[in-house]
Amino acid sequence: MRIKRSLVLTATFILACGLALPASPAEFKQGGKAWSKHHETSLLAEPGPLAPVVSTVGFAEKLKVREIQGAWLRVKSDEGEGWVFQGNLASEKPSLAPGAGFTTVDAARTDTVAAARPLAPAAQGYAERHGATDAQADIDWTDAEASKLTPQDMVAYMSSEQKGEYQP
Amino acid sequence: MKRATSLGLALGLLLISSAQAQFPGLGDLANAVQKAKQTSDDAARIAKGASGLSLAEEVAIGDAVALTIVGRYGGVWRDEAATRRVNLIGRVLAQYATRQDLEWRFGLLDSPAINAFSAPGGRVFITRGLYELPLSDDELAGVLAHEIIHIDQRHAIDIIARGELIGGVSSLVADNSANFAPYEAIVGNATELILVDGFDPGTEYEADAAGRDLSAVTGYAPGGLRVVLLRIGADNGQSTEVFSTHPSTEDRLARLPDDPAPPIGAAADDPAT
Repeated sequence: MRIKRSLVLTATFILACGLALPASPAEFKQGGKAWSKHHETSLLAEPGPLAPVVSTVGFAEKLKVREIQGAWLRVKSDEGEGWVFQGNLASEKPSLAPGAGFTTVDAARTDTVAAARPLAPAAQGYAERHGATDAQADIDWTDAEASKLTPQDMVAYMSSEQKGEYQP
Repeated sequence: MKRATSLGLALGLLLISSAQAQFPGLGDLANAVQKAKQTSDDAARIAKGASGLSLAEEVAIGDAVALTIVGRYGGVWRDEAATRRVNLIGRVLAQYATRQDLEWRFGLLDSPAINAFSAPGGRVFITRGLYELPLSDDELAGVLAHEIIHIDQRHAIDIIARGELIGGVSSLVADNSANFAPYEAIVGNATELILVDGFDPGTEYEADAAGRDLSAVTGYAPGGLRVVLLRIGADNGQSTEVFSTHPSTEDRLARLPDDPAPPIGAAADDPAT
C-alpha cells in the first residue's frame, strides 16, 4: 500500500515536471506563488527594466505575488519585495539550475562574448565514425556565428524592438 | 493532408496521452524507481533532472542528432546575417523559457524543404525554404518558439530516456567505455523520432500552444505561427516537403486561438549590426 502510494506520488511529480510550461500571464495570480528561474533575479523598485534594484533572489526561490501590473509582478521574498518581469518567473519550481551542467553561469549579465561550445566529445566521435566531418564543420561554423552575439546586442535589440522587459 | 508540420505542437489531450505513454504500468514505474534507488543518490538525481538523463548526456545525444539533421538537409546555409537573426530572436525567446540550463544555438539548413527541427540539448534548425518564405520577426519567432518548447519540455529526451540503453550512454559520456553500440542505437532512435516519425499529434499541439505563450510573453505577436501555417496551407503542395513530420496544418490551426495576424512587414532592423 505504501509502495503504491509512493509510486503514485512519484508519477505525479514526474508528470508535473514534464508538463511545466512557460509561464503565461494567466498562470500568475495575486496572492499566489511564483519561483525565480535564473541564477540571479533582480527585484526592482518600479515595474520597468531601468528601475533601481531593491533586492536579488537566487535560483528557484519561492516568491509570493503581491500585485500584478500588466506583464510585471510585485513579489515578496524573504529578503525583500520588488517588481519582476513575468518572463523571468516560473509558475512551478524549476528543477535544473543555470550552470548545473557546463553552461556559463548567468552569461547574459556579462560583457564578454561567450566562447563557442564545441560539439560534445561523444558526438565528435560519432562524426568520425559516420564520416560526418562536413556536418561537424557546419555546426562549428554555426556555433562560432552564434557566439558573436553579445548580451549587449540582445539588450539593444530588445530595447529597440520593445521585447521582453522592454515592452511598453 | 501532406502539409503537416514541423513547428512543433500541443495541449490538453496531451496531458493524458503523455501520461499514458510515460507510465504504461505501475509495475514498470516500480522497476524504474527501484533502479534509480540502486544507482543514484539524491544529489545525482537532482543533477540529472526529471528525465533521468544528465545535461551532458542529453547534449551528447542531441549533438549527434544535430549532425544527422545537418547531413540530411543539405548542410548549413552559411549566411551570416540570417544566422545572426535567428540566433538573436531565438535567444531572446529562450531566455524566458522554463529551462535556463542550456546553451541555445540556432542554425539554418540549406534545403528548399519547409521544416524546422529541434535536437535535445538546445540546438534548433530551420530550413532555408522556410526562412525565405520570407518570415517577419513575429512569424520567425512563432516557428522558433515551437521548436524551443520541444527542447524546453524535454519532448524527445523523455521518450529516449525510457529506453533500456541509457546506461551505455552514461558510460560513454563519462569516458570510461569504448562500447559505442548503446550510444549509436539511442542516437539512431532519436534521429528516427525527430526526422522520420515525428512526435505524436498531442505533443505537437502542446508545442504550438506553449510556443504561442512564449512568443506572447516575449512581446511577439501570438499569431505569428498561425500566419505561417496559413501561408503554408495556401501553398497547395508546391513545395517539396512541408512539415512532413507534423500533424496536418488544418488540425494545428483548428487548435490554435484565432489570433489576429501580425502586421505584414520585413524583418525589423537589427540595431546591433
